[in-house]
Amino acid sequence: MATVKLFSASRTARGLLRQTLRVSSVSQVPSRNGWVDVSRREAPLEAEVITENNARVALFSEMTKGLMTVLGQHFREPATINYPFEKGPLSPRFRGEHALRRYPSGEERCIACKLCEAICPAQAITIEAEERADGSRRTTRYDIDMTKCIYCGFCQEACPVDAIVEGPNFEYSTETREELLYNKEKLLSNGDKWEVEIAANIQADHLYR
Amino acid sequence: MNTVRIGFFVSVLLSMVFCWELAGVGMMTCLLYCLSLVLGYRGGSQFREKSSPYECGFEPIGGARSSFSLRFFLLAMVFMIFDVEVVLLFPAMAGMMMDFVPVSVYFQGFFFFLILLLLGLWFEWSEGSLEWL
Amino acid sequence: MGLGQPIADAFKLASKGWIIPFRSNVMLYLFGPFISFFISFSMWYLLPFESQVASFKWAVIWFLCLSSVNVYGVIVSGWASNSKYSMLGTMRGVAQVISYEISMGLLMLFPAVLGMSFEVYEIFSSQKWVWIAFVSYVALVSWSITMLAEVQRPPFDLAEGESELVSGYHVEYGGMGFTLLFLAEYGCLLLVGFMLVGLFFGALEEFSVVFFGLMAAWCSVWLRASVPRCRYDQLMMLSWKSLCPLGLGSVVLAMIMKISAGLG
Repeated sequence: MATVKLFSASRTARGLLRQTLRVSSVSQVPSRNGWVDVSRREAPLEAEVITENNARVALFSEMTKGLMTVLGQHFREPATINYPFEKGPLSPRFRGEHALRRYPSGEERCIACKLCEAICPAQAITIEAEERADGSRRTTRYDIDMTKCIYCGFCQEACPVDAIVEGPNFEYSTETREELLYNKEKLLSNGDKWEVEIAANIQADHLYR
Repeated sequence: MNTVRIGFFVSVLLSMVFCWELAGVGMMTCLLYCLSLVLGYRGGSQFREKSSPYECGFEPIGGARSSFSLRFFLLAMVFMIFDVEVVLLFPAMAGMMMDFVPVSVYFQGFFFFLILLLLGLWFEWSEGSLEWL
Repeated sequence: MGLGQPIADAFKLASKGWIIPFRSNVMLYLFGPFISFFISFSMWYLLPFESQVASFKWAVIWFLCLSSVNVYGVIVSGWASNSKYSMLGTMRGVAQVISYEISMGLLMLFPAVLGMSFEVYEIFSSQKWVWIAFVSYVALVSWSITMLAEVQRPPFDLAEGESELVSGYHVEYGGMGFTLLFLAEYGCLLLVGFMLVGLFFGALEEFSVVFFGLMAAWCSVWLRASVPRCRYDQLMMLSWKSLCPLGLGSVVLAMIMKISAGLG
């Protein structure tokens, strides 16, 4: 029993000694140029270390570890989602398909200030405005070329009345190019269709706007 | 005499069957090719842009049949030498298996041969023709 | 379920249109996949299945010869398609395959000498008492690595190397040419799995050869999922500086075992 104790004591002592040696060897290095060599020291040439290294190489212990990790992953639940049936979470700030909103009374919000047209970096928005019969300023034409749009969200930021927004919808692919040239009716109907979600998103984000 | 003749006949028959099997693999390949030629027919003409060699969407710059690093040819030379020596091992082993000469006798010659091979490898190594970088 | 997916995939590949690259060698371009496919499935004759008409007496040499000739499939299909990517892939693939041919020939002798035969069935059945895998762990590991490199599976798929050569020597192939090249590769892979199981683990019945061979092939897919591709100079050094001496050593070891067993 005593021998065992002695042996273990010598081992711990050696370990401590090695640690202090390592620390001192790193800290002594700073030179005139101000850099420190932190590269890994070479393993000491001891029979124990050499045997361990050789066994690790010959028995592929590191490779086995990696293989087992992969195998474990195989039996875990996959990270992929079954897309058309399940969808990932979307941020309230997600910038998807455009929509023109209305007031609760049914009046359209857009006042044809053309700020969105001015700020649009892709020049995807075209607006023509005229005075309506009741004297208010409204758009007669509001077109967005969705093939030009880069979904930067500047139109949404520029709008003073929250009329043009980018909604949470991202599934509006079409079979022809012409279907992606949105006009005012399309945008208004988008607004009607997605009003609940859009309002919820704006509500969720209002503190930061 | 009779058994020899039968054995000869059987071996000819077997090799014929074997050739037929090889031909079968070849015919299957041809059949697959023909199937795809019929199914994948897209009109006669070939477009020049479509059939230009793939170069990540760029116009191909220069030809592909250019000269190449000499390293590979040097390696092929080393391979030739070694492969001839390995191929020489095979008939000798076959002779040993057929008990022409006892294994121990073979081993003396073989040991010499393998040491020569190792020396050759060592020479290539030290001379640096195995270095890749 | 998706069980019908592979079949639908095969039909899709068969119905793909042909593209003959501009200024390629048309005959060689069409012939390359043919060579690969033909050679890889001719190799299957050496398996000792009952459906085979005859058992090869020199099956080991048949294997060695055909896997050497298999390089021509890579050379022809890569060179003929007149693309830089396929040219680079071809060069890499050829240098890799011929380098590993040496250690393959030497390591192939190890079970052949221990089984005292070049006939695959006899080598398989000579391991009734102890598997050759237990006789020499080193030979088993070297053989597996050599075979992985020989059929250009990851981590040694430098000839394809998707990240730098788009897909190596078969960039220009689509449709049936691509299908044949891939069938050839996977045919080789399965055969190599069967050979590993037979030569080193003494699988003898058709069922065990096929079942455990498929498991060996599955292991290569497993490796593909977990190990990154190695560097090209590392690959060549592994072949010439490790596997070649180990192969020579294995041959000597086998001879010494035979003599000390008193069979000489």
